Amino acid sequence: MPPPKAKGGKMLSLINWRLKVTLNDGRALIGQMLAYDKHMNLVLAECEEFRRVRPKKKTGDTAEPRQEQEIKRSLGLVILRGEIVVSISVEGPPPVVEEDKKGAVSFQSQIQSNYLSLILFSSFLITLWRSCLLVLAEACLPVVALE
Amino acid sequence: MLPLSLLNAAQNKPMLVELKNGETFNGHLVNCDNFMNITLREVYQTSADGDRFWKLKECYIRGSTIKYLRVPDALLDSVKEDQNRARDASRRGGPGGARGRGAPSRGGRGSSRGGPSRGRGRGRGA
Repeated sequence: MPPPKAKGGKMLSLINWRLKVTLNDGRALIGQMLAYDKHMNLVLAECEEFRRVRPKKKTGDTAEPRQEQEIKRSLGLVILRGEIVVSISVEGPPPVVEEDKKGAVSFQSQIQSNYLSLILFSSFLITLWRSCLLVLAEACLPVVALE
Repeated sequence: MLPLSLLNAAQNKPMLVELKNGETFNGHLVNCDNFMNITLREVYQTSADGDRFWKLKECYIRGSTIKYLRVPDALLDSVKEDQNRARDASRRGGPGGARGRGAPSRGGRGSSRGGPSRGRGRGRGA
């Protein structure tokens, strides 16, 4: 993952990026950081919680070693208190914004509509030209007939 | 936008608050302050192990005991809308206000420009 440019502060450069935030209770939250403040309070969008849990084995089943299971939970929009943040790392670049996609689509449709108007205009020109020819031919016809 | 401004915008919205001790509180936000102290109404409190529940009419939570708050996703859209509206208003208020202030001054300058010339004209005529 290419590190984002640090301009105007490290945290500012990380805004809108997908971050992995480890908490002091062992959990990790992954979400898009929309906001932060001086306390390191964070706003994480589309946040997911990851927690390592070792399954309880009451019976003396020592043949299989205890495997830690990662439990994932979807939290959505979260305001995280800065006090419990232990570390932050970059998980991924900012997700593609829906509005950008919409902009791209509208641009495409604009191109298409331009194309359509061009075709209509050229067909109009062609009909105009043909009618001109017809008028000319009719004007010339009596002359031909006279001759 | 700051985390606490998002919290401020979440007033009267449902939310889940998890405390450092693992207890969770489900309720509607009544009020909050800059320490993240909050009051909730119509609260369901859940113990840390998740096997006991309490229903509370209203409760106060000290900000320093909070781990995180889960707020409705739709809150983002309303906050962004509010921001846009505020930005537009300030834009209109800024240059618009300047225009408002500028227009009379321009008019004043214009009239003052007209004034002396007319005055001069009259002076020359006399």
